[in-house]
Amino acid sequence: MLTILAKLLKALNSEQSPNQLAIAVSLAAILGLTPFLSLHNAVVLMFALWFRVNLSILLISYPLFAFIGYLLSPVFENVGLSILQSPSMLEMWESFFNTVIGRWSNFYYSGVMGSLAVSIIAAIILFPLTRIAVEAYREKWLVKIEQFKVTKMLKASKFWHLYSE
Amino acid sequence: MKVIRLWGVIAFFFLIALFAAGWYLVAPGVVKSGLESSGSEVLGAKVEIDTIELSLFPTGVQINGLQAADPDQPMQNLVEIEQIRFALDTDALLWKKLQIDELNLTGVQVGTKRTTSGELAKGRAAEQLSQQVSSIELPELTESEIRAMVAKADLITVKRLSELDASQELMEAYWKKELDAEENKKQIKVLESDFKRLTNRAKENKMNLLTDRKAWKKLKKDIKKEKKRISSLNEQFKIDQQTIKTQIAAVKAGPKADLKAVMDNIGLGNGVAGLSDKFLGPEFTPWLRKAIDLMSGMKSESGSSDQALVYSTEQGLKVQFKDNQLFPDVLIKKINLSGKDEKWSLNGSGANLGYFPWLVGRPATLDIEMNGSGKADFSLLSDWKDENEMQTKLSSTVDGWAVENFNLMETDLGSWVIKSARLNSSLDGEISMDKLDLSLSVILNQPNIKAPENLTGWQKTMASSLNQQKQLSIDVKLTGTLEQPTFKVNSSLDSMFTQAIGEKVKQQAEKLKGKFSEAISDKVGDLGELEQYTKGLEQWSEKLKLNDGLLDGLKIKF
Repeated sequence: MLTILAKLLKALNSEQSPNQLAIAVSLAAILGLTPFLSLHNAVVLMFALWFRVNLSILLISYPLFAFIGYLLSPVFENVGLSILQSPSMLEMWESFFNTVIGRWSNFYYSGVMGSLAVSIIAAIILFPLTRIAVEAYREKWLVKIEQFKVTKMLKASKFWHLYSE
Repeated sequence: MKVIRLWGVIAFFFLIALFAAGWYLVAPGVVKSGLESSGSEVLGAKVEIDTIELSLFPTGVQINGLQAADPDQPMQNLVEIEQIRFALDTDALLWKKLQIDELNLTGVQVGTKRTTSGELAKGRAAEQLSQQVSSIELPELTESEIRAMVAKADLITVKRLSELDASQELMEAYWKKELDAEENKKQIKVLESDFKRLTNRAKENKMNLLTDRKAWKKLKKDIKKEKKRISSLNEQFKIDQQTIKTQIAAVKAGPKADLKAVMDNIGLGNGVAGLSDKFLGPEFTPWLRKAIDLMSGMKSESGSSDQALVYSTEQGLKVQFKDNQLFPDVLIKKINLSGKDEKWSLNGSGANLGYFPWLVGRPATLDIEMNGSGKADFSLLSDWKDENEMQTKLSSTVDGWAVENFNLMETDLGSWVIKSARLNSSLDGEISMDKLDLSLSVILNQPNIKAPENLTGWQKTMASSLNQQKQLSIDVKLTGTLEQPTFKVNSSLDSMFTQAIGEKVKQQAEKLKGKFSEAISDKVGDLGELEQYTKGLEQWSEKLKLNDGLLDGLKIKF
């Protein structure tokens, strides 16, 4: 728990831009809400590793979204089924199904499609929200939180030093 | 600040390479354990594989030393295959399809000895006849389920009641018209007043009898006519009365007929025979049942033409879009199998075995021949025109195959073993999407059966009588449709079943009978009020008598 807290504070207090932190939360939402072993998650992982996305925030957020995804799986099934069965999109899905990427993406499973659709929407919403939250934290709360005993204790602990190195 | 981090790119490719290498190393183990566990689940006994070898160039699989234990005799293998070898078409693999050009099974043996028991610790127990009997789960229905079934049922009592109502209404209208109409009342009154008038005139002066001669004659004629009408009404009344009585009797018998129909529907209406059809039948043909389930499962869940088809899979619902790669997900273009033992040899071949079968485009065939102490063959031809049109022909014969030390059934008191017998069997029939017609006949000639030693009572009698039989036979007939198959089992072992489960069935049937009777009574209402229909008719009888009596009075005085 302390490790997670240390990672979180370290990331928030770092010099990384709010965008880097916000994109990490958004990518974690896609990784966590959708089945992990999916083709699109390889792309998400590639994006997270190649670009300067904050990996600590991504790793902290991932389990939370995975848990939410587990709880919402019946909803994802319904959403996915209605998207896949929508007559207006049938032609598009058929074309995609007949591509190698489409075939390996498993998008034709209602759970995959539903969770991906919901997670993309969540990622789009979470990006500006997280950015605003990080900016607000740094402007208004950073100094106050630095004064908290817990923060001071944490900063003095070996966890903090471990992550500072 | 650089946008791309170099170590991240390296880490990504390293992770991909690690995953691929890991999969390549782990895959044989994963496939092995997957095949073993799913095979064991289906068979009900251990399925074991020595090794699996995967090769990348060319993409191929080799399964070495496959053993499938016999669920009935765990120290024996049902089948043992030395090697299964096949190459996968990589182009098809790119489209997530398994296409096998030639599948070779060599060293196929049946009935080989095992060094360890093939029994599953917690798996399906050997499906033996007497165990089936004791483990049959008779239907336990809740109050609400019973009421729902009765509510849904097309009860004959309700039909008969409405027919009775309709008849009663018709009769009411008829009798009202005949006896209650003003015209009829007036006619009687006219006759009565004419009679009084003429009588008074005759009393005043006897000569008036002569004067009123014509009037008396007319009155006599009118009275006679009315009497005739009343007489014919009396006849009609008797007919109506009988009709109502018959209909009431039919309504009263209705709940019993309904009870039988509903009980038949759950397989308890006809005692052991009904139960055998419903519950014992499928157990005789577990593989057939599995095939039916598989084929039923193949049917899509969505029938709308402007929506893609949806299938239930282990990974959730799968929407099947139109596939331009017109070959099935799994296809074995050609299969060869061979094997032999000291006492027999086996050869078989097949072609175009695929899933989904309607995407294969050609009929699937499988032919197997065995030679040994007798002859056996199996032949399958399955032609799928499309998803909804399938025609499968099955035929198999076993001719004079010697059966030795075959475990017939396992009971609490021990094993029933066929020490020796000659087996003749035939399986023949067709399966299509809307019709099932399969017949299986198994005959054991000159059976020498070893029964457990501590038998008593009827079991002892049965054991000795079994050995006196020249033949033991079981005939299974499967008809109906894939959704609603009907099994008919006729066996010379029927008496054993009857004795074993007769009492159990009787108790359960009685228990459910009461509940169903109650639900039917609630639906059809109180039949005690049926007598009102007779009473309704009786009032017209009274009126008829009254009119008749009145006319009789006129006649006497006249």
